[in-house]
Amino acid sequence: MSLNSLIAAAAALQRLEGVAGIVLFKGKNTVHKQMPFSDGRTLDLQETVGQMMDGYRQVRRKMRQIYLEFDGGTLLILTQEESILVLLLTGRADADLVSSAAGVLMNDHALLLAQLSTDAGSSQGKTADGIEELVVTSPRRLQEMSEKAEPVVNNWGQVRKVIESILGKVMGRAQASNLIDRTLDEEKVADPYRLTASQVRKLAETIIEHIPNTSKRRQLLTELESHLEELNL
Amino acid sequence: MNIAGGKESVSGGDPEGAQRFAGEVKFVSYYAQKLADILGMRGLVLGIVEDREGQTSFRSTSSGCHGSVSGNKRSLWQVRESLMKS
Repeated sequence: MSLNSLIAAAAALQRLEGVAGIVLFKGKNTVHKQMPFSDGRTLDLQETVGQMMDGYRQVRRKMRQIYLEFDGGTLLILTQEESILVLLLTGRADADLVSSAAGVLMNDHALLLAQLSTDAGSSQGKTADGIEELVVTSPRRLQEMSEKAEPVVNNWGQVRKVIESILGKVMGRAQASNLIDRTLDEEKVADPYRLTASQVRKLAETIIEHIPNTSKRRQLLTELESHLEELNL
Repeated sequence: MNIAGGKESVSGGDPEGAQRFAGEVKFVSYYAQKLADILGMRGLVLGIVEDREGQTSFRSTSSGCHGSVSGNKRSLWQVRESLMKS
């Protein structure tokens, strides 16, 4: 059972802005780790997160993710059955984008993750002669993956911020936020992060088109247009 | 809902939700402090726990914790913004 695609996907996650570290593990089996501190500390982190998730499992709660923002950084923990993905984020990360991308990774590799052992060292990739396999995640490979993933995980988080700031000129923040949520419901968009670039653009325009004043609406749509161009949409 | 001074004095919301909120905050805060120690950080500022049923979110301040239990799933950014404003 090759874990190369899973490890390459995890490495690609770390290239998202603001992702400072990543650990993917199942029980005592570490599949991939790249943390900005010692292996010992990473192991302590895995044990504590593992105990926390065991607690939820004991009461049969189907956890999806846990977001813990500390004074110096954020831990985003995603779980699927016994597999746990921990991401260390800085303040520059778009947590929703990272969460969505990590969720895609877990779903895409669900079968592989389910087959993994929970025993320590069973995913080390050692061959019969004891030589450890090195998985090379070349920039080209990562670029190909990012391009492939682009239609699946978009930058809705940034687009939403732009829409909220534009709407903020004609209404309160809570009202703007409610208008976006209402439009998502009306348009039956379950997960805006899965829309294509053109769908995101159309959704953003639909939201702004709720502004009743014609001249104001035109002005805001023009402003939206320039922001969307900056975001390459 | 609020938990004052880390004690089990919960105010606001329905009793069942308040109980769930208090339990969630206690459980998460316990492990968060252990994780903060490992990461070399001081402590938890904000937590969002999401399962298939919904989201529990809270913010820790010197005067206690406040937050909510919701059946809706909002974006992390949106939950964070509303907690920081309240």
